[in-house]
Order: sequence, then C-alpha cells, then structure tokens
Amino acid sequence: MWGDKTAEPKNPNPQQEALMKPKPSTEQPQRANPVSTVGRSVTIQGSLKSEEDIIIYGTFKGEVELKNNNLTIGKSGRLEANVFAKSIRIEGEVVGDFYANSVAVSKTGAIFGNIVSPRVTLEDGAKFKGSIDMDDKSINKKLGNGEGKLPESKPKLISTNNESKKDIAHSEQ
Amino acid sequence: MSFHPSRCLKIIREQLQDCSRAHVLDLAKVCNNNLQFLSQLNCKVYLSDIYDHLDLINSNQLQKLIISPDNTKFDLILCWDLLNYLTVPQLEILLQHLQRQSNENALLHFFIRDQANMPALPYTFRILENDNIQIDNQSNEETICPRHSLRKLKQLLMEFSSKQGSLLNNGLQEYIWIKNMSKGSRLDLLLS
Repeated sequence: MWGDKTAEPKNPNPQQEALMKPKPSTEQPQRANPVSTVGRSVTIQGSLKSEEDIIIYGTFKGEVELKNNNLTIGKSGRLEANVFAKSIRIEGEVVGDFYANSVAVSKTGAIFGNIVSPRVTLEDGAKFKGSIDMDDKSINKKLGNGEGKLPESKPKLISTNNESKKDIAHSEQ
Repeated sequence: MSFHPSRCLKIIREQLQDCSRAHVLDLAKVCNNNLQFLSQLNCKVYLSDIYDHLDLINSNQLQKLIISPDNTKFDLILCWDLLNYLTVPQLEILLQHLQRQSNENALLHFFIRDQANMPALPYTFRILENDNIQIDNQSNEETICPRHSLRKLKQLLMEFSSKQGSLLNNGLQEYIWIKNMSKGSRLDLLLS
C-alpha cells in the first residue's frame, strides 16, 4: 500500500497518470522524493505523517502532515482531514482545513472547508463552500515563520457532519 | 461573451483598500480571476455558490448554504446575477439574512434584469484588468424574468442605500448599495 508503486491503480485518465510520474511544472514542484499512493479501494483512518509526496485515490479520514512534501487528492480520492503540506492539489472531494504554501483546485475538485495559503488557484468548475485566506499574517500564524514549518496545535475540523457531505455529493450531480 | 467596464469595481477597490481586513462573501460560481482580484485587496474570501441549492433558501436551511464561522459579518457581498433567479419569498429570506450578516459600510453588488425573459442559467462574471468584466452566457434557453424592482429591493434592504448604478449595453443594470454609509467617509467623498 505505502511506497509501493507497483500497487498503483491502472488509470485510464491521462491526467492522473501524469500526476504519478515526477514531472516539472509550474503548478506542482518537481518531485525529488519518492511518491506513495493510496489506491482507490483503500480506506484509511488516522494520522498521516510522511517525508514523501502522497497521492490519495482512495479514502482518508484523520490528520495529514507533510512538512516538506506535496499532497494530491486524485479525482477518485475522498479526504476528510485537516491538512498541513508544502503544496496541495485537489481533484477529488475534500472536507477540512488546508494549510500549505500553495493550493491548486482542479475543475473536478469539491471542497467543503477552508484554505489558508499565499497561493491559491481555482479552476472553473470547481465546487467550493468555505473560505480562502491568502493574507500573509494569517499564513505565518498558521504555518509558523519559516516556510513549511507547521504549527504545534492543529485547528478543529470546521464541519464533518453528514449534511456537509451531502451538500458536496449533491453539488457534484 | 461580452466585455464591459464596471464603475462599481472602482468603488469596491476604494472601499476595501480602506479596510484593514475585509471579509468578502461571493455567492457566484468559483472564478479564479475574481479570487485573485480580491486577494490583492487583502480580503478573506468566503465562497458559497448557492445557485444549485436555491430550494434550500428558507429560514431553516440558509445558514448551511452561507457559512460564516464565528458569525462573521461581511464587508462586501457579491451577488452578481443571483437575485434575478430568486422568487420573491427567496429574495426576502436571502436579503434579510445578508443584511444581518453585513458590517456597517458594507457593499452589496448585484445585477438586475428588467427584460421579459432571461437566460435559463445566471451569467458568469470574470473580473479583468482595469475594472473590466467579462460576462458569459451559460445557456441558450430562456426563462421568465421576475423583474424585481429596485423599490422592492429597497423595502427588503432598509439599512442599505443605492450609491452607484449603471446600465450595461447588454441590458443588465449593475448596482452597488452601501449599508449605513457614514457621512464624511472616504467613500462618501468619492461618491459625492
């Protein structure tokens, strides 16, 4: 499951295929680190810390800390968590608060929660219910003074009730 | 697709530059251009595209549609084309809620239509450079326009007053209303 690239699901979508290969881009930093993948059929609940980039195609619920690494929630990915990462790319459905140096939301992405980041990019078609804070002071307060430094205490998840999830599911239809 | 200069955007920029930390509610679909415009003005942006959930606009459900953590009050509310797609009861509920959730000197930006028919889906609006707006029609089908009057809006927004209005060449009327504008404020001087 973890760090096992052979376990990656075969995906007909070329966009997702491309994400799984290290590739220089303006949106996503070059991946010098290995990439771990959570497959489509995998469901994880708990706390995730990693020194590798992570791609989630399955379901994750809990907390995510990637101090110096990038997180991608793939098109089939479902995430319910507070996330602290170097960069975050959202293509699936997510609920929670997201702290990063950059956040990109694709047109297939659906967010119920809050983003705190100096660089946020939203593609037309993305679903979003929540707030976006790109203020430097707020970001330093949450991420610490140094880039990528994470706070000691984590904020509460803003909403994880069933109604919220229904909203996102409904808006996808 | 059409392009229009917006005098209201200039007012928004002037007003928000005076705010140390403005809270902005955008009720339209996600648009990266609009987010970047607001982020340059040091705003915290709350996005709530409620068009897909108009059936939930009633007194019990509205707070699920428009999320304002810790009872945040807004300094700018962007309604864009939304009001034209609401029934009178929905309009009453939404505007009364927005009135309660807005700070003094808050700006309310919206477009009103007064033609007999309108597109079945709201226009999308994209803020461009130099206070221009790109307007896109999302539908070739038409529906009946409710033709909400400014008089009706004023009745529902007693604490707001109309300070800028202009007619675009596609027939849309663009307005910006201000809540309890304090005499002598920078915006008051700008508009006088």
